[in-house]
Amino acid sequence: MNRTYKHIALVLILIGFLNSCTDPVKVSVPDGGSRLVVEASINWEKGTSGQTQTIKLSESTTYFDSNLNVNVTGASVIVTKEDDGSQFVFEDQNNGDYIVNDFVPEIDQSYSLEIQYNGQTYTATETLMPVTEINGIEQTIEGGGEDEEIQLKVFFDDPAGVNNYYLGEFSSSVNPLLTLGALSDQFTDGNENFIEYDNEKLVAEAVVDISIYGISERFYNYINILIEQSGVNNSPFQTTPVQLKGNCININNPDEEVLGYFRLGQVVKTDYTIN
Amino acid sequence: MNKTLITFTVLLMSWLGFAQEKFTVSGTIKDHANGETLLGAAILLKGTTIGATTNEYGFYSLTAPKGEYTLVISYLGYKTIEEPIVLDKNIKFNSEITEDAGQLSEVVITAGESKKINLRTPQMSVAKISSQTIKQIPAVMGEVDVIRSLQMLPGVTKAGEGASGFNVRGGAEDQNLVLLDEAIIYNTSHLFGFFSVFNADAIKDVKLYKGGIPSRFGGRASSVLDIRQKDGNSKDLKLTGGIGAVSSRFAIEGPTFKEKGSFILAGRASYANIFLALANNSNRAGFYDLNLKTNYELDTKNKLYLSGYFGNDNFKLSNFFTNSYGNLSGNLRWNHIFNDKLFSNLSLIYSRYNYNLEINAEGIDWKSDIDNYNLKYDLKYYLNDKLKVDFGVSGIYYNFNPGELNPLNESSGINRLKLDNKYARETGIYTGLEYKVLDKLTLQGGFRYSNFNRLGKQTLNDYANALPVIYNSQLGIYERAEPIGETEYGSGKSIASFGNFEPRFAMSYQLNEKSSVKASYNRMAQYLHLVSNTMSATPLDVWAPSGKFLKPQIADLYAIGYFRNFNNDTYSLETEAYYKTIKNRVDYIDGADLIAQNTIETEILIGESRAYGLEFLLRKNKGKFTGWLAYTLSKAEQRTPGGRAGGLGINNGAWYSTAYDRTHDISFTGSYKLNDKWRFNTNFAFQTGRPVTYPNGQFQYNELSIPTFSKRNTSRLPAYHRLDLSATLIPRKNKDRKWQGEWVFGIYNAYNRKNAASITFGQNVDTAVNEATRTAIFGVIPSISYNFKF
Repeated sequence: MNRTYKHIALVLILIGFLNSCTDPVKVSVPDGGSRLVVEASINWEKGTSGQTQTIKLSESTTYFDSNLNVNVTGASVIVTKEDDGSQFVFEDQNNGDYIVNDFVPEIDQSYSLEIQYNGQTYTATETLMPVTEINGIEQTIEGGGEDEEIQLKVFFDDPAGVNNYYLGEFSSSVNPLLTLGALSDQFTDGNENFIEYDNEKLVAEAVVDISIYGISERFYNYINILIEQSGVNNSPFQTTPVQLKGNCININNPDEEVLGYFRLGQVVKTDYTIN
Repeated sequence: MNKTLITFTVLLMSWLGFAQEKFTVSGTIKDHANGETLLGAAILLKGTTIGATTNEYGFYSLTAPKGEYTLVISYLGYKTIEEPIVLDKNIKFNSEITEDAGQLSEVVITAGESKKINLRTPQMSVAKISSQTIKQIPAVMGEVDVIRSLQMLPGVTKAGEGASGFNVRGGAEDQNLVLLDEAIIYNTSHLFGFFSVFNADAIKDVKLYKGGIPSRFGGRASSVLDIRQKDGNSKDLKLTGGIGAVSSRFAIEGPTFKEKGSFILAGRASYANIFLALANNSNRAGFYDLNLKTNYELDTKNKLYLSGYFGNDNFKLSNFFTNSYGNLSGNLRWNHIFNDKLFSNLSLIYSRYNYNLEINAEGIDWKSDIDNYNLKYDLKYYLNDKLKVDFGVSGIYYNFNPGELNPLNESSGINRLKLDNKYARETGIYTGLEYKVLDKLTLQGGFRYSNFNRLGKQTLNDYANALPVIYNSQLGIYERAEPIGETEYGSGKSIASFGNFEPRFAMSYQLNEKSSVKASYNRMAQYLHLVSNTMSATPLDVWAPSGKFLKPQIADLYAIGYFRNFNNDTYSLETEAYYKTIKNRVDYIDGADLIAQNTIETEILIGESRAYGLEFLLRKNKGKFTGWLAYTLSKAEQRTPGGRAGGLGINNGAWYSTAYDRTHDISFTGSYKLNDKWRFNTNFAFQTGRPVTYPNGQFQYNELSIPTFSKRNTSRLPAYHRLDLSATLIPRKNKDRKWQGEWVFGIYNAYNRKNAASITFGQNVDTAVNEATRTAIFGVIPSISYNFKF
């Protein structure tokens, strides 16, 4: 439904702002201090072993900081597979990345993350979510006149009778920014579902890399807020921004705000050349 | 105790019945030119303090000891009439008064409107504005607008230029009871809030009760906007109209049944569609509305009124999206005068709000609506010169269809989904009395007892410990609870019932001929909630009735004021202070999903809100230059503790500013009449910026920069300010001809202030650098419109 909401918001922008203008402005923003960011996305591409995995640690900065990426090194990062207690130690690459080469992914299996950093211990637990296959990709033209843009719909079959959540990730050479889209099967359970991608910059011959992830309900709630707040929605009809709370907790100090998410999921990948 | 009561009763009875012999004069006051009944005209017995004002139907009644008097009928902008009467029996005195042309040229802005403060009546906190005044205030694109005009008065604000609804004294958009000829209007916006749904040509009177709300009104927590439509000219057939940049208006009115009745039919339509079509653009955006009212006088004691409103908005964004929404209402009324002292009105009202949305890309067809039927019986008893009593009953039956989702076509991936219909009955019984204790002291007291019954048929989820939202203490977030079962309620079976006793109290004490102090207290119960977590209300928002999980909002409002007329009533000053608390104000958990949500209870927590402020209004009522200066200093906050769900609550349970909190709000409206040909008007508005939440940092996630947010609404948008100008040209050739035309030239936002409707944060799509983007809605907008009458 989030997708529908996005559409509605888009329409409200277009209609509500027939007369409006937008321009960049300088504003002073508050400084909430630097916080630990855990980007622990364990992605198991279908048909691969999924043995090599990367976790990124960084620190947050002020919103308009000149250097937005502050790597965290010297931490210990361990993921435990909960059924047999096997541990995977992620090696510090001294650039903020922590890598393991012998990870064992298993669907519907529970994993826990433990990070030791600066004398604090951070933990999180999640389940590895499955994903279905991509059926096909459809290219259409959206809008009309000057608002025309190319749109891709990525189709897949939603399993009936269970709640499924999906995350789509789209990147293309014509767009420096990655595009994310989340979907719940709330209104489309058991049907052929699609996630769509549109961008005014898409032109013929542009290549779009597409990943569709299976995600948990909790992460769906998280990523929905993240997408909504990452700044695409330019209207007074936007919802009030809220604190984005991930699943990583400092067990020494539960009140510490830890950013990012520990997530595991199967992913299907493909690419598409615009024609 | 019993003895005291008996003594009191006997005293009261003797005072009511056996005092000096008294008689009553009653009747109806009308405008001589068009037969329109006049509302709020003052009737006074010369040389006494005995007086009355006409009610919504132009009726008055006053009682005085036997004797000979001079009856004075006055209404600002009209010639005052003095008529000798002999009061030795109950008499009827109907009168038609004429507009004072001479005075009119002096009192430009107040034609048809009494601006001089009534010092005697305890009624306070009322913003009254006539359709003439509304038409003179410079408007966006020359589009005359009731709600924008009200915003020029103290205590009334709007979330933003492109936002629906309005806010009164720190109240939310859903806390205003909007009545058009007594029918409830659920959405007051055309074009998503750019314009309001009321056609100034069809409106006689606009009254906004910001406090001191009389006991005959109930159902909303913050204010009552009481709009009355014109009855129609009962003397001659008249046409009026206007051609503007956004829409055109046309109204026809005239007598029916040999002046026994009259009618008015007014229509308005926008023509953005025509321009879009001409520009070969396949998008469509437009609105129209129709007002109809007719009345028929059965005899001197019985009169029937039939009024209706129909308005609709339509949008089409190429082949992608179609949206329409609108209000429909109809009202049949029967005025019956039992005798000189007892006036009654019976109303049967139907109103409907519907909302449709089709999204082609998604294959979605979405429909929702609210139907309500309302039966009301109101009586007013003018007991004697000291005591007036009004009482009545009302019943409303609601049928909410929160939404039905259908696949738009065969290829749609959407499953049909019907959200549960919701049914409810709201009943009210009230009484209010106005008692002149002393010449200088008048008290108004009363109460309303309201009952709200949420009815089946509906099946509701059961939750463990009856908690639809639970706090996840590990992650520090609120989550939806999984239902553990269902309870089925049969058709007409009560699901939840609420009763509220709503006391209302007001008093006025006249310090001297020129000044008075007033105080009031009222409690209001509101059983409907507008479910919305966007910055400002949108037409997508759904109304939800109170029930098993949603409790009624209860408001307590206190106000005191000082009022003064000076320089021979040329100037008037109104100052008021208010304090308001509202219980059971809903707020939404982080990430709440409100669209097509069948179980709203899993998305909300119950909190409270409070607002307080000071209001000043200085008016100049007479002379070539008239107008007013308004200033409001206020605060509006809310908080939502975790309660039984656990945790500290939303925003850690701390108070935070609501989106409609405005510390300072200054507005100035002026009108200068140069001569019979030219008139100039100006507005200036200044407001503290809207509270917003700015990011307190960013982090890198998936190579994207994601803003982080903390406490709600701790930053503010830049201050809002704007100057509007307009000039009205009345051609000299108008004189001695039937066709009366006028040109209105306007400039909205004359110095082109880019007022931020919002400031959003995101990465630049080309450079990926973080930036803040301001959206400003209306820049400088010149306009021209032509109004006519014949």
